[in-house]
Formats: sequence, C-alpha cells, structure tokens
Amino acid sequence: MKKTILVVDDEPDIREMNRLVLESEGFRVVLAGSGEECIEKLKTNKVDLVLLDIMMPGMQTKDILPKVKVKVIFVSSVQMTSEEKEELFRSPNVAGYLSKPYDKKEFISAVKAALR
Amino acid sequence: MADKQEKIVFVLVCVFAAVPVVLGCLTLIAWVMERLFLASFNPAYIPMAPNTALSFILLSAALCIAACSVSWKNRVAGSMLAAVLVVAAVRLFELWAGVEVGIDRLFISAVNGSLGGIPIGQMAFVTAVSFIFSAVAIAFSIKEPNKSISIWVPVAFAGFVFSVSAMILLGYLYGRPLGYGGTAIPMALTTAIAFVALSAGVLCLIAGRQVIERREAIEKLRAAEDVLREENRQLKDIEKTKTLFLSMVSHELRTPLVPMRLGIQMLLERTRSARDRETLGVVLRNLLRLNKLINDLLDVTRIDAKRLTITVSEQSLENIVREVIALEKQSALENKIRLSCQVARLPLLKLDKDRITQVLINLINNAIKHSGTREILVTAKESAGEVVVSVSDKGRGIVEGDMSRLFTPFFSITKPYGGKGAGLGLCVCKGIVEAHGGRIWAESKLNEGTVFSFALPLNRKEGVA
Repeated sequence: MKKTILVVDDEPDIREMNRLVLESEGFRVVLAGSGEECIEKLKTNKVDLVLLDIMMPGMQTKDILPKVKVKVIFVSSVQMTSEEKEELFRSPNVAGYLSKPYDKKEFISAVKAALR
Repeated sequence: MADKQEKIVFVLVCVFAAVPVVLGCLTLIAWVMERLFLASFNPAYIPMAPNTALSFILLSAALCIAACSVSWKNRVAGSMLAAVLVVAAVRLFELWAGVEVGIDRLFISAVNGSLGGIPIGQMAFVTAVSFIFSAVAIAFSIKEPNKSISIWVPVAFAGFVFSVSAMILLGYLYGRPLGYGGTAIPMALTTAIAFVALSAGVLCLIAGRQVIERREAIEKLRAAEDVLREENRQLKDIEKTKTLFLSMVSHELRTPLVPMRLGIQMLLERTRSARDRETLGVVLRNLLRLNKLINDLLDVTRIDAKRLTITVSEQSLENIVREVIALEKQSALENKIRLSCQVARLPLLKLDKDRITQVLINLINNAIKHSGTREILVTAKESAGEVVVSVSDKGRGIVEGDMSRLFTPFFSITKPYGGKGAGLGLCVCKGIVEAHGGRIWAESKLNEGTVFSFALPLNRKEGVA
C-alpha cells in the first residue's frame, strides 16, 4: 500500500518538484499551498506524513501543528538556531528537519526515516 | 536668549556707570553754584575737581556705549576716551614739569582757593593716572570682544583702578586717607567712589561677556550633539534596514534553488548519457556554489549585526579535522593536490561543530582554489591554553599590502594568490572564530606559501558574538 505524503508550501514550483521527486520514489502525494489548506486536506485524505514549510504567509506553524495528528517534517529556508529547532522538536509528532535547498538523497532518507 | 543676556549686562553696566555720572554732575553744579559741599559731601574733605567730573561723565558714557552693540560705538566712544586721555595727560605733564598750563581752568573757570593748605579744583596725580588706566581698559573692551587681549587688558587696568580707589575709600572710612599719591593734592572722596563704581562697571562688562560667550559655546555644543545624535539614529536605521534587506534577499534567493536542485538531481539519476551527466554535474556544482554564496552573505550580515549565534557542545577537534580532510580529499585530488594532516591528541573542546567545520572547509578550499600549491598540510596542536589549527600551503603567497585586509568583507585578494570571489569566506571565518572567543590570522611569504591559523581557547568564557 502506497504511503501518502502531504506537501505544504506556498511556492507552487517547490510543491510541484517535491511531488515529482516523491512520486518517482513511489509515494502518493497530496499538495497544499497554505496552513488552512493543509488542515482541509488532512480531513479529506488519509495522510501518513506532512512536509511542512514553516515560513508561510497566513496560518502560523504553531497554530497548524496541534491540528496535525501524523508525523511532520519541517522545511525552512532560513537557518534556525538550535533553540528554535528545540522549540519545534518539542511536539512529539515532529520527525525531521530539512533546510532549503535540501539534497535529494537527504530528502528521501528523511522521509523514509520518518515513515519507518 | 543671548539678546536678553546682553540686555541684562548692559543694564548692570549702566547702573555702575550712573554713579560717576551723578557724582560728576553734582560736582559741576557745586562749582558753578559755588556750593562745594555737593562736590565733597563733607566740608573737611577736598571736593572733586571740575575736570575730574567732566572726565567721569565722558568715561561713563563711553562705557555704556561699549556695553551695547551699535555700529557707531567705536568712533563716538573712541573720541570721548581720547578727550579724557588728553586732559589727564596734560595734567600729568603739569605735575611732572611743575608748570601751570591751566588745564583745570579750561572748562570751568571758578577754580580758586585751598583747603588746609591743599589747593582745590585741581586734578590729583592718582586721579590722572587712574583716568588713563580706565580709558585704556574701556578702549580695549570696545574692540574685538572675542580676543583674549580684550579680556586681560581691561581686567588688569580696571582692576588696578579699582584697588587704588578702594584703598583711598577705606582711608576716608577710617579717618586716615591713605595713598594720596605723594603729591600735595589728594583724591577726593567722591572721586574715589566714582572710580570704584566705574572700574566695577568695566569688570562687570567683561565678566558678563564671558558668561554670555560660555553660554553660547555650550548651546552650540548642545546643538551639535543633537545633530550627531540624530545622524547616529539614522545610521542605525540604515543598518537595520540593510540587515533586514539582506536576510530577506537571501531567503528569496534560496527559494528557487529548492526545485532546481531536486530537479537536476532527478535528471542526473535518470540519464544514461555521459555527456548529459557531465552537463548536469556542472549545473549542480554551480547551484551549490550559488547557495554557499547566499549562506556567506547571510553570515556576514549576522556577524555585522553581531547576531551570529553559535551552539556549543563538547567536541573532538581531532575528529572534526579528520572528517573535513576526508570530505575535501576528492576535491584536492581533482586539483592534483596532496592533502594531509598532523593532529596531536587534543582535549575535548566546547565548540559549534557545524561552524568550525565551515571554517576549516573554507580555509582548505581557499588553499585548493587560490594558492597554486601542490600540497596542503592541516595541523592541530595545543599550546598555551589554546588549540591552534593551521592550514599551510606551499603556494604563491600573498602580497604584503593585502595582509591587513584579508578578513574584511568584500575584499578579494589580488594576484598572485587567487583573485576572484565575493570576499566573504574569510570574513565569515573570522566572525565564527571570534564568536568562539578565539582569533584567526595569516602568515605568508611570496613564492613560499601561506599559513592560515585559528586558535580556540581551551576554557571558553560563555557568550555569543
């Protein structure tokens, strides 16, 4: 049974490229362009992992997280300090962290590790 | 503000000047009406001479003119002072030569008689000298009020007049008129009072001007301080905007790299053509280079704004050096460079592993790309409470003039050592090492090689840069 990954990013090209990469690795992919859409998609799809950009306009990460019951990988384009990372990793369903622009191998292994 | 203060000084000077004027007028009336009591206040004392009275009126007027700021004051006050000087000088000549020119009968002729053997109605020697001194004091206080000579001359001369007349006044008060000047004619009581007031007026004018000048200087300083403060605030604003702008730009620049990197990597894995793989390899390498540039730019911004934070934990520098050597071996080989290391046994250090790795990679990459060396040696050893890591090459070396600016941002070393680049790498290295409480430096000899070293303290004091 294919695992389903929800990719949340406000940049359409990043969403699309993530979809291409993940599909080529045999995953089913659902896309969302904002926090609000992410919550919507989680209601209508059975999702195994969320790939969440933490810097998006609109709904903030700290408001999105409590509504996500599955594993989450954070993606950020700014280098975070270890305190900021610690803050994020405090919630139990956080499974990883990727900083943009991430390497494909690193990306796939983070996804697989989170789903294991 | 200054105008108001000038008016206060003017009024004070006029109050002082009014005393000799009143006494002078009384004296003139006394001589004309032959009521000498008005000129001496006491029948036992000698009265003020008519010429003395006239001179006092002229000097007081000149002093008042000196205290106000009118354009014609030099000419009018000057001629008044000249008249007084002439009268006093002629009187001195009379006393010196023992002749009577008749200067004391020139203006008011009703001068005759004596008091206890002392002729009255003639200007005393001390009085004449005091008039010359007073005239000089007033003359200097009129011209160029900002020069030091127009401060100390009036103060010295008026001070002298003040002391002499005050002494004579004391003599009258204690019934023993002291210091009558060694001539037969002593200074009158009224004359002494008038001189005290007149010289006090001159001193008051000088002191008042000084106070005003100080106040103005302080006000100017305050205004300059306000301007500086405002400029400083603006600079800080600009700095803030610059930092914000650079971090925003770096973020925006990095976003498009995400799909590019993933896409190129996907194609690289998929393609069977060696030519395509080579092409995509070049594209990917340049993409990573662009990414490093953006990271450096962000780091420089952070270092500049003193916001570079490091997260320290106990680490083995030995392991870090070996890991970096392993990582860079391939790149060195591609450039036909032998990369080796000599690492001593080192104690564990509190440091930010990612950041120190970044420094080491930067230094080794510089040597690989820019030095023109065939071998690079990385050493790490403990010495005098710190651990010193050095990256040495046997390349072309750095010219003397570049050495002092190596670690400043946007400075690219001129030939023969390397050349191109944004000039950010070493600046970032410096920022990171200093955030660890350490230092970084370089030594170089042309055509012999360069050594870049950084030292980290063994007992680091907590703190961030």
